[in-house]
Amino acid sequence: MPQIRNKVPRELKFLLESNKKFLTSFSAKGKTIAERNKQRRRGCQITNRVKSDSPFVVSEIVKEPVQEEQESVTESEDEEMQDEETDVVKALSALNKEFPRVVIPISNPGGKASYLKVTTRQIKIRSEQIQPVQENLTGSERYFEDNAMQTGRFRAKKTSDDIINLIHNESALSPVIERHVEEFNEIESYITKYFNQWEFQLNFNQNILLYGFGSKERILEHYQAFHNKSKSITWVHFYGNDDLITLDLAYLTLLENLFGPKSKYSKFTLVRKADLIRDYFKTTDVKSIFKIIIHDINGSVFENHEARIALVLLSGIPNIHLLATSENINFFSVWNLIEVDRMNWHAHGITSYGNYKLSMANRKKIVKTCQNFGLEKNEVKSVLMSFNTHRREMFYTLANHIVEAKRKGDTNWNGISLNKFFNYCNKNLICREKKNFHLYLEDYVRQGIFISNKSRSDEARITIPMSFRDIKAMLLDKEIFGYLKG
Amino acid sequence: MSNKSVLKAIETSGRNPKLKSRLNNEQDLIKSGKLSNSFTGCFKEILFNGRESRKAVEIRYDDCDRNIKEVDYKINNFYFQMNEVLVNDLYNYIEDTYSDENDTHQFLKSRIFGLPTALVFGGYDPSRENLFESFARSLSEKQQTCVVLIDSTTVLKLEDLVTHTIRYFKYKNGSSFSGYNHFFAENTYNSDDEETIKDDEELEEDSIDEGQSNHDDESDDDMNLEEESGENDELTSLSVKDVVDIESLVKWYESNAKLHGLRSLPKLIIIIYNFDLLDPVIAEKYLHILNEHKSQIPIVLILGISSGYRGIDAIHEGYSYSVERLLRLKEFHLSDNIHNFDELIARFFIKNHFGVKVGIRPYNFLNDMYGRLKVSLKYFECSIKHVINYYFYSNPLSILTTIDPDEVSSRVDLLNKYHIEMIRMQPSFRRLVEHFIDEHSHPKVARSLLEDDNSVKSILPNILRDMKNYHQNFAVAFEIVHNLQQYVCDNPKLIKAKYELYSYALTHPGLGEHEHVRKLKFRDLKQFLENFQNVLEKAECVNSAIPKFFEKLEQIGNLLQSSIKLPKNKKRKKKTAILMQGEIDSIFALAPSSTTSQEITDKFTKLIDEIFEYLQVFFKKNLCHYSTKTLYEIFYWEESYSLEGLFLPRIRQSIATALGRPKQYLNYPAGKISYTQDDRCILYKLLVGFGKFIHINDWLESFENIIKKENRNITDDETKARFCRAFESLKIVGVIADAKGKRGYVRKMIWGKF
Repeated sequence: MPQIRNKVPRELKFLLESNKKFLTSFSAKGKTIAERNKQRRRGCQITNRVKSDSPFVVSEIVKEPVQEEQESVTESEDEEMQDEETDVVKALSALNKEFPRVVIPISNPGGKASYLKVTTRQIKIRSEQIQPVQENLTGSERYFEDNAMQTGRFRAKKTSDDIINLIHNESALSPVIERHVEEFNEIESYITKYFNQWEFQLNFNQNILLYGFGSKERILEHYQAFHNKSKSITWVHFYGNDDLITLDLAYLTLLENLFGPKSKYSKFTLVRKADLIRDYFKTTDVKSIFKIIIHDINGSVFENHEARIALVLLSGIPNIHLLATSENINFFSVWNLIEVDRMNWHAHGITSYGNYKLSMANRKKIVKTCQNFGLEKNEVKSVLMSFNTHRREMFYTLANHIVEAKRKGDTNWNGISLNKFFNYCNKNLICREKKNFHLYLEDYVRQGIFISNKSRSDEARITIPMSFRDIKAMLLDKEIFGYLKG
Repeated sequence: MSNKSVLKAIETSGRNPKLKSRLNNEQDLIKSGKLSNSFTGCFKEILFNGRESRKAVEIRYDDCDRNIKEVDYKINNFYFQMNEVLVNDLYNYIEDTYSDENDTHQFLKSRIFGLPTALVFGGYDPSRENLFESFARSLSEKQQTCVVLIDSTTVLKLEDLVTHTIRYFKYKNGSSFSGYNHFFAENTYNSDDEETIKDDEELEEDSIDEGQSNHDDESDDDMNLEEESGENDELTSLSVKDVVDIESLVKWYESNAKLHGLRSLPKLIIIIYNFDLLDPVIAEKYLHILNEHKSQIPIVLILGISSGYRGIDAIHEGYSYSVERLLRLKEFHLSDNIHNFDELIARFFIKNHFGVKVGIRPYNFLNDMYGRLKVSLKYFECSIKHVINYYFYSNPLSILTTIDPDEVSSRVDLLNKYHIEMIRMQPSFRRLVEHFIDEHSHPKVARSLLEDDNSVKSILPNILRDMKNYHQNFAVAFEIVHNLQQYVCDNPKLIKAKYELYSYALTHPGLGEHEHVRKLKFRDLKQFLENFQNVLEKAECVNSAIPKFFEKLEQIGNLLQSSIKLPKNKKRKKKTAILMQGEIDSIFALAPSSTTSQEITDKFTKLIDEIFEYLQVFFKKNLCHYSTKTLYEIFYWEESYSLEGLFLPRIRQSIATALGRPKQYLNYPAGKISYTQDDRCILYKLLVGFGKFIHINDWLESFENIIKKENRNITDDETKARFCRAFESLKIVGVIADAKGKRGYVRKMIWGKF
């Protein structure tokens, strides 16, 4: 570390000197605007390239036009400097925190180089990787920067898709070796000691809620085996992640157990069935015990009000013992307070670390939720906030268009054709070239904020998959679009 | 010798479980006991590793049952008893409605107001439904009414409401409640269901006169009868059996009214508790239906409302004026929570002289349960029952506690050496032994207590009696403190409720030395003393104190008489007893004018000081902390962890701990993220470094880096597979979720320290 530190000042000195050289030689170069523009573009390209080698150069204190010369010199000296330069990079990355970096904003959206004006200097202290000056780049200046980002993202997208596919392909998961089997078994055997306690509470007309990390299936199997000797127990399973029809069938089997097979109550609603079961136990004195195991009480089935009520009705019956497992960290996401209160839960934490079985039903749900395109406001917001103002404005333009079109009563109000959208963007000085427009658009589409729909006439239309109200609300968000009004 | 085994037994008995690890968080109820039958609900666990005597075990379990029944007795009808005034008001209200008109068939039609409706306000407590249930029960006994009790949480459709109404009506009028048995005996159930479904849709519209059959568990005979009933002669009354829907209900009322007069018919009382949970759309339609028939049926609505909105606002909240105007509202208020809780505390802990008591932590838990978190009597009941169960199931000495000390000798005989050893293990007993050595210098007694089982047995009844006396005196002194407050506190805000005072009593120095009691100064001394005397007289146990107080009271009386003659002097005792006219002037006259008055004042001050001192001593003695008593350990349940575990499960925390600190559960080597840990734990810990949205690829890479440390040759496929499995587990648990719109990203769902 100290060695590197010793080296740095020498490098700094050198770079400062070279900068001075450019400042003096600056006036000689680029006499016309066009020329300068050309040079700048060239410079910019070099900047990008050099940037990736040596982050230091960009952050030097210079006026905008000087940049190019600086780069070119660096380029020319590149070869001889190579060895030392890597040291510089190392040293700088080590010193990053202490070293103030100066970022030059280039504010010429119209393409007019304002090199006569001394640009304001913003000092930003950054500790992470050096970010390119992207906030204020426009037009083709962004080309490299955009491209660099995209290659990374494309790669990323591919692997993440791989992973998602892998998840849905169970056979791929088979090579995983089970680890810590002993410890898991130990924990499990520990939990089985509590079976008597559960039984005790169940007999007091309290229901058992099992929570904690890890699959509880095996423990429940043990529990069943534990009680298998008794013939007076009927086991019923409810699956929280299945659909309502399966649950309905479970109730039906329960009813058939009580009344014998009859077809007439198959038409009853769930609550009615539960009511019937409750009344049966009220009026008749039965000794048989029903143990209902509810796999995942927070499952999608119980998002249904009726399913919950039916279960609440069952919960009060002394002959019916409920054992439910709760896997999710948010227990109250599905159940409301009054329902929970009626359920008479006695909670037991059993952390088994058991591996979850990735059931078919669950997977279906995953796929379904993956396809749900409804965006949430805060999601969009977080994405928009990560964009620079130009890109953000693009969202604003489209959203505004949608709102206007709706007001006018346009039948196709929720979308816009590509060409029209580009024209809008061009008019609003968001992007002047179609290439950039597409780049920006791709960003949006990748993030899922814009969706392109093909209409009957084969014309691609762009929409935002949000409710109209949310779109309107987004427009009014000062945090995102406040700068437009200011 | 056997000390070690006893010590072990004490430890395993779970009286004071020291939690060695998180896994021990449950009561070790069944550790080594022999279980007889696990299905019938009668575990007979023999403690001390099976060395407890049979008889003792049986007595223990009998005691448990008895105590549980006692709880049921105290809790049952609790709300009903607490709200007797309100219940009476409601009775009167129901009786008064429809009574001012003449007894004609037409009287209902003359009403210009809407449906008579009682709004019953009470805090949020789901157990309040018991109140309504018992109210309904008593109502149907007292008056000729037909009570319909509807729980709005089970109402999903309008049909449910109507069905409930009809069912209750039929039940109240003799028909079997559900008729399920005969319903299932019949095999003639045919296509009625389809009709019913069709009818429901019609009902949705609004029409009341459609004649829907909402009650589908009636047999089809009823349907036929109903059709006939439409053409019935007006003179024959419709039987209850024929009532299948609102329409036929109306007909029933009409036909019976013609025969017997409307007044003789039962009023239809519809009680909907949790009215604010009922979907306004459904309730609105139901109210419209009822309103339509208000001229034919004497309906009284009772709506239980739990929301914060009071008065008409509760209706405004969900309903438009057009609905509101249908109702003629009257408000009733249930007793408030603090009052209820005070009563509960008094019933369970203060007035209960020999029962299981709780220490400060379980008490705070109960307080939280009832007062803040759940606001539910049911949870209170469950918690108390839990304490009682576990107390009797795990504490072999529990046979000594819940019995009158006079009869305790029979129980003492049941104690064996393990019991005695357990008694000797208790810190308070050891303190007693040391007391004998240090202060009384009776080393022999101390020695015999430690070595001779019989001497311990002989001393036990005394200790238990002492405990009982303490509890009795405590109850009296507590009552006095509670009453004293209103005489001494200028600021009504400073008056503490019983539950607050009791929590002071349970915290260490005890209520007697709590500054709230110390600060008490007198104002209405005479009134207070009279009150005090009454309390003392009521409580026979503190007889010894009474003569002294009579004396004091007389003295005060005498002094007061003399001071009435010299009103100026009374100001010395601050705001003295009876406020006489002219006394106000005297308050400003500080210096006593005459010598005689000076004497009286001195006397008075002296007396006041005496009384004050006496009271302080009295409080200090009787309101001392329970831990100063010998063998308090076997009376007081001081552990609250199992209660919290059962009723306030920390689901989120437990999962976070399992993932974040697997060392607690599994014997992993300590450290930060390491490849030795479970894949899921590694992934979970990696989450810390990410923001709200996590790119799966980044995550995978970091995961790979850690995994590769273990084994360089690990294949990509295996890494991915392991990653996926762990990934999916975390998703099931809810730590991460799909980042809906963003492909390739997941959303972090857990924040903060983890």
